[in-house]
Amino acid sequence: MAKEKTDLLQGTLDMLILRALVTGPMHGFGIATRLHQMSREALQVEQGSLYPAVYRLEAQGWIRSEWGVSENNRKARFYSLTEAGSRQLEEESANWTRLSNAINLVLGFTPQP
Amino acid sequence: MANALFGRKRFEKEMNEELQLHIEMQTQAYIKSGMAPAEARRKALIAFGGIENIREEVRETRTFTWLEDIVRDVRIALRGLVREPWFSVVCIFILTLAIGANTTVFSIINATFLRGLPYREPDRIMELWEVRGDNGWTNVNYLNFLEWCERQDSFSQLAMFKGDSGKMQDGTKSALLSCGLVSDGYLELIGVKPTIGRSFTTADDKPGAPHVALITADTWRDHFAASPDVVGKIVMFDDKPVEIIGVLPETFRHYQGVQLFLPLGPYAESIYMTSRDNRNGNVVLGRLKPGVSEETARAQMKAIAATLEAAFVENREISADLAPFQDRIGKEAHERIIFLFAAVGLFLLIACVNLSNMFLARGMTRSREMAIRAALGATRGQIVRQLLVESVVLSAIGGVTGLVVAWQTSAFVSRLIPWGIRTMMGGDSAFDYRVCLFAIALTFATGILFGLAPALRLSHTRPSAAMKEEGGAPGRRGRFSGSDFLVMAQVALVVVLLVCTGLLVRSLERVLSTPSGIDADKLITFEVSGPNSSTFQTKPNDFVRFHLETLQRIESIPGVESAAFCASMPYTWNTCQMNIYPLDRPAPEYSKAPFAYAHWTSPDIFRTLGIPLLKGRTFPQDDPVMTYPEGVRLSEVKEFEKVFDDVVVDCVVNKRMAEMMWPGEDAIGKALHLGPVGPGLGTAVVCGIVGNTRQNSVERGDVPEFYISFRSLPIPQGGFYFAVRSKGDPVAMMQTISKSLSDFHPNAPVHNMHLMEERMSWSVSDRKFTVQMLSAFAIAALVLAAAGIYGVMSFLSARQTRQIAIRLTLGARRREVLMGVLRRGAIMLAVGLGVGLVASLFAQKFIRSQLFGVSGTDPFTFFAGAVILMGIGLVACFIPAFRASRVNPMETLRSN
Repeated sequence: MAKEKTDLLQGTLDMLILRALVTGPMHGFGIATRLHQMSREALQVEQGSLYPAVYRLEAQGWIRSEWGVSENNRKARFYSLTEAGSRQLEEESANWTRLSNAINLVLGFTPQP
Repeated sequence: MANALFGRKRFEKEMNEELQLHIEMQTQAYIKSGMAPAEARRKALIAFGGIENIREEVRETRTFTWLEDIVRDVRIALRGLVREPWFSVVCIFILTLAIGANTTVFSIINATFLRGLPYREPDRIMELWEVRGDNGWTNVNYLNFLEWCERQDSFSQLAMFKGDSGKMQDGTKSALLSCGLVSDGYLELIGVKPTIGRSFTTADDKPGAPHVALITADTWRDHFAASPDVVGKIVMFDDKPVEIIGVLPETFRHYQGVQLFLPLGPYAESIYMTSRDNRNGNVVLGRLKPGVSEETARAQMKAIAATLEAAFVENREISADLAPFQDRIGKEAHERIIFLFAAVGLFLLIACVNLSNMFLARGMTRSREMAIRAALGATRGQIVRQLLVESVVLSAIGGVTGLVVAWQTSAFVSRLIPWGIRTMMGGDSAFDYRVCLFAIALTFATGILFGLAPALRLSHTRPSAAMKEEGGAPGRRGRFSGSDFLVMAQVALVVVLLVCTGLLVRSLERVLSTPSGIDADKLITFEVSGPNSSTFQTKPNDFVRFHLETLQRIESIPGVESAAFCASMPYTWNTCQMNIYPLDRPAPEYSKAPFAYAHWTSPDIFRTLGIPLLKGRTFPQDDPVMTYPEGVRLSEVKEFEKVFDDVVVDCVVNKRMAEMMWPGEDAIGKALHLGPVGPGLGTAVVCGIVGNTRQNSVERGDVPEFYISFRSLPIPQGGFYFAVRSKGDPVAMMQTISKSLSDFHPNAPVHNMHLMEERMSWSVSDRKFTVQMLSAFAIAALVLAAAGIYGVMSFLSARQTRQIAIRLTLGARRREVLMGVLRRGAIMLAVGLGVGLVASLFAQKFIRSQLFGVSGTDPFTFFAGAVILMGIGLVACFIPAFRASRVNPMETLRSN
């Protein structure tokens, strides 16, 4: 499938998911919870829309999945970052910083270092 | 790959599990925070979002492999085929025919060329010959062979095979078998071991050793009912007890359909082995030592032959040569089989062109469907892929049925292989993995070949244009479209096939109408297996008496018009040639001694066979019979020479020989020396000239022949055949003769009894069969071409009905419309015909060797081919043209 025009939101979501996995492997619900935490409960993404993103990231090779056992003894799929994924995260973070600096400049705010 | 095909189901299952788990975890979280379970679940679902949408989105992220796409395309294709049954059936039928024919011919190629001979390392086996001066290759003399064995070191094994036939008697049953006398190590050389029993050892190959024999699997079945206790069984072979020591493998075949093997050693005392002049039926094979090349071996053998030439006077101008054993197959089969392959390949191309056109035509009705697909997001590549899958699927179905048909008819079709090779090939089926691979590859190639043009054409449609109903003029009048060119190409190919087939048909006709030189009406021929050449050497008078008495007995049967016996009977594939030279001029050089077909006969042969006497006289009926002195041992060369040196006999020559030996002179009264330069069988004086006969096959042309009366010079020259002309029904007479002779000589049964007419038709049966097959293909190709033209013309006129309607209303006459369409068709035909005729001029070069009595550029055949094609082509055009002219302008214009 052709690479789609990266939606700003999509790109953001991808980056956030990668960010969430930096600390270690997690299943889908875990990622949702983490995102909720990381954003200090400000981000309320429809939890389900996590999954298309996660599957897409896996297809692109930035995360990998493994079946394991969850906390309450259920079969669950655990995702973790691949090396390519970590590199992509760095790059995306840099891009994001550049972009938000640019926006800030335009809007008159002081750019972040 | 299984993942690709079945992964989808698993994928869905896992996805569902994961999503469900997420929702459950969220529900648990809510319950923990104090919500009621039902409420918790509801909120979890809301928080999750639209589950179906999520599922859809997830599915989209997944890149399904191309293989799954193809599987889906195949399913669509199959559905499409079922929807148009007639179209599919016709296509499949054409494909079955084309692919089946190509597979069949390939299996023949496989069996003769690719698989190689079924012997151990066949490329290391060489066939060795002696070379006589300028006269070419000849069989090897046994004594020379023995010298070769001692002096050579290029071959790890050298062995001789001598073909012969003999009578095998088992109790009261007797049969004439083709046998092979082999020297020590022959069977090891070619790599054959008996499946039961043991093989020959060196001890078996010595003179005086007890007689043993090996039989082939077919013989075991036919004569011994495949009974396991055949090993150790004693049968009489040529009146000598022989012990059968083993049975050879099922699939083993060898020269001339040999049925029985005997060691050569015990027969080494016969005259044929002890003379350095005799070479009858001796073939020598050698297995090259590892690392020794063919060239090295050849050089060594030539050197050895030179030494032998200096050492023995009989070896004057004798040299040696060798060639790979497998070449023997190549020479005979090469042209005929390659030509067949080209013919069926041509047919396949014609079929592909036809199918391509059919798909193009059908494709036009699907342009809406393709446009919708394109509009929905299918790329051009995807559409082309889908269409190609359709044509490949169709091709695959046709290919499978074609392969099955080819497999089932393989026995029937094996007659296309020249006889000499059929007897050498192994008996296992020619259908091995190579043939299946070929069929698969051909199927794919065919599917893509005929599907490509339509697929490309169809995927080009601009969606908007096609969505609207057909109205515009598709191609400008006068311009020829792609499918028109396809038709022209098809016509050209058909012309080539027609012309080549026509040439072969005429050749066959020439062969059949060439006079054979004998009158075959009510003529019966057969062999009687009485005393043979080894008896002759010890008891020659018995040999003579047997033949004369048998003849007398036959003549006494009521209903017999005339009877005779003859060595080298025409059409029995039992020919015998002999060196001779005229005595009224200086003797020729040894190596240049002419030879002619030698017939030792009873006096009435000319009347019986219907050979006309042209000049002089034939043999008197009561010629005195030559008697041999009692106790003479004709196996000794010296004794043999003593008996025959002074003999003077009459002989009759045929017209060709008279012309060759004494051009411009009267041959009557001239003397011949019977034998090569040196001692021979005496002198013969020409007393008569008879008409020419064609030995074995009409295709071989006139050859020099001479006849000697058996009574005046009775020797076993080749195998004797009896010929009887019956007054009444020959089939009934055949029974009567068999009965009478078996009463007369219970130990000497009648063999190989056939009407002469049958024998003559056998000699053309191979050619006839090939011509029949080719004609069938040519006719099928013609039908295809006609259908193709018809289809294209129909389609064209159908698309132009509006234009025609307009023209008619504007005052054009129907006849003009008709002629207009016909003219277009005629132009296509003419162009195709022209190209085809030129191509035929090139193609005929390749089949020249198969022609007889007809030149490759025979104008009549070319003209006839053109006429047939134009005729049928114009008829095919006429119907659509007629329909076009019948267009009702009112209706047509109104319906839009």
